[in-house]
Amino acid sequence: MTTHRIALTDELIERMLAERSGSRIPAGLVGAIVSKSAVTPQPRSIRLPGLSWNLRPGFVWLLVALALALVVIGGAIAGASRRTAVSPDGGGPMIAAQFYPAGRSPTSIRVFELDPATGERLPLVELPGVDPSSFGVSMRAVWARDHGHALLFDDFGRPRGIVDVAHHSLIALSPADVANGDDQVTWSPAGDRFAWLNGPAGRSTLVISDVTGRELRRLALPTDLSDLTQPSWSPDGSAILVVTAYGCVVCPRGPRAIAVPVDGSPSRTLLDETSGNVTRAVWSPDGSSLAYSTSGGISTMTLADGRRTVVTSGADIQLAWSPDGRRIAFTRLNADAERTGIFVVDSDGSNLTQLTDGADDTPIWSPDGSWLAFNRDQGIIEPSAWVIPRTGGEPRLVVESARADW
Amino acid sequence: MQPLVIPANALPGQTEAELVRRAARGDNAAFEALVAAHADRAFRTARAILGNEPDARDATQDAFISAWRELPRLREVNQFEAWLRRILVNGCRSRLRVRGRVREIPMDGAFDRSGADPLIADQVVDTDMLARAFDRLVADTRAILVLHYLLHEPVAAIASAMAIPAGTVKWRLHRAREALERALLAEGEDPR
Repeated sequence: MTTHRIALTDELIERMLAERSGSRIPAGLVGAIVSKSAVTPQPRSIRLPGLSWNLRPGFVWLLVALALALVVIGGAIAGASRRTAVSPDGGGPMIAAQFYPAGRSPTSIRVFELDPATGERLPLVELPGVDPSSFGVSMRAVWARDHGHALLFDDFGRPRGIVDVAHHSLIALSPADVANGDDQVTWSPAGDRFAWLNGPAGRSTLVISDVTGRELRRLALPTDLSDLTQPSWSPDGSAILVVTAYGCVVCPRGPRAIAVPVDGSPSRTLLDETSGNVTRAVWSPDGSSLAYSTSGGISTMTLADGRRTVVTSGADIQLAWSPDGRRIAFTRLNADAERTGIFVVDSDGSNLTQLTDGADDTPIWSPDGSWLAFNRDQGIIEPSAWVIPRTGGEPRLVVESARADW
Repeated sequence: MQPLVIPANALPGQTEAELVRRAARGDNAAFEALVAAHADRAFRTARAILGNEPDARDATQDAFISAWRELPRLREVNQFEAWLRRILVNGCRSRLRVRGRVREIPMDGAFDRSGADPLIADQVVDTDMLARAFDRLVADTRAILVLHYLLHEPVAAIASAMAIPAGTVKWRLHRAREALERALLAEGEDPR
């Protein structure tokens, strides 16, 4: 093994970034932007004074009457279609969080249940006096499995509050030192505890807290583990899975999935990849196997005998087991990573189905496994939450400018 | 259609705020002037965060088109540059997150060292290794390092671009530098 150590100085960082940023803008980029903007409409507000310059009052009233008639007729048609359309009940409510009102400081954060069939919102809690910049631009709330509590996360993946659904109360948490950003927290299967990765690589611990935010215990992790990520609580509640060497291509040791027993006994390696780039590993709902994604696709491994099955081959990330463990949903990046789509495949690799294509990611199963929620990037800052039947069909917008959990 | 590209100085007497107001009313020439004035810096920012030209090109284009669409809603016309940077940085963060943090080795010309002067070979090795270490970092860490070390933005501007308080910027800069140091250490220990 060759070892080359260099001193990290400001000057070196500046030089590296200057080289990395390129010397000049590519030819034609400005022209391409200008061309595209010329054919992209801007949303225009209607200025009432302008009407008086161009239209006589009688004609304006005629337009108003026509508009009202259209609204009445359109409402009737929409009502009829709602009655005949398949309703995304999904077996449970969704949850989401938004600033209210948006664009002010200080403002409030509202966490609300969302009926995916009707779009109706049931406010759960409100956190007033919030400086929105301290939360970033993209919050999310994540259900415990029993829907009795939810965790509120800020844009940096830090848990900032625990929502008690029955009592409509919220316990605010101080921003915690969560390693590596998103997806570093996992609920226990009973929904009474959550665990999160804390601290830098090499000194990381798994912290277990109860639903009042009280720390119950810290599980020390082996010090030779680097780039820990993606904790996943086992269905029987006995251990927490973490992925190590995340994102590492050439490492002293390949990526591994480590089971850390909750009772403090020594951790054990469940998955040891000699090559590849494990980006996520998740227990199956019955705890008998793992599904994991690498840069080459998704595979499963049966824990009893270590048997591995290649499920997909592609740039597939964000895998999620269906509640019955028969299928896996995931996000696929196309070859140039410009478009992403939501896919579903049987856990044996058969029946691969593409559900969406565009700028979609983060599939989440409905509790009954009949629908999938996903984020759709609509081009600016905050994605919106959409749903689609598991078998395919027309995606439906559930809530704008918010990520939803199901 | 062949676009008519008008440099910023082709609209004499126009302040940037005036250009922004005109662009917000749908004036394409004013928007062209804004693009010409800001595209280079925007592209270099995206290039530094994302690490390759095609992604940076797309992120820059997407940011400007988003800005064009959203301009009618921009109230602080004097804050156009900060607002554009925020859109751009968020776009870069989204791209990196959706990429699933799959590590990519840049293959384009900026990292072609075949003709390097042997006298600066050590420096080249250092910056190459540091660039690879930088690729190990998560999106937010990359973004804050680029804003500070490449663009030399003041803390308040970084806070605005990343939608975090100024105090948090200082703390996160400190953490980002530590993360880069750890990544560099790991990179040095990896066999190549």
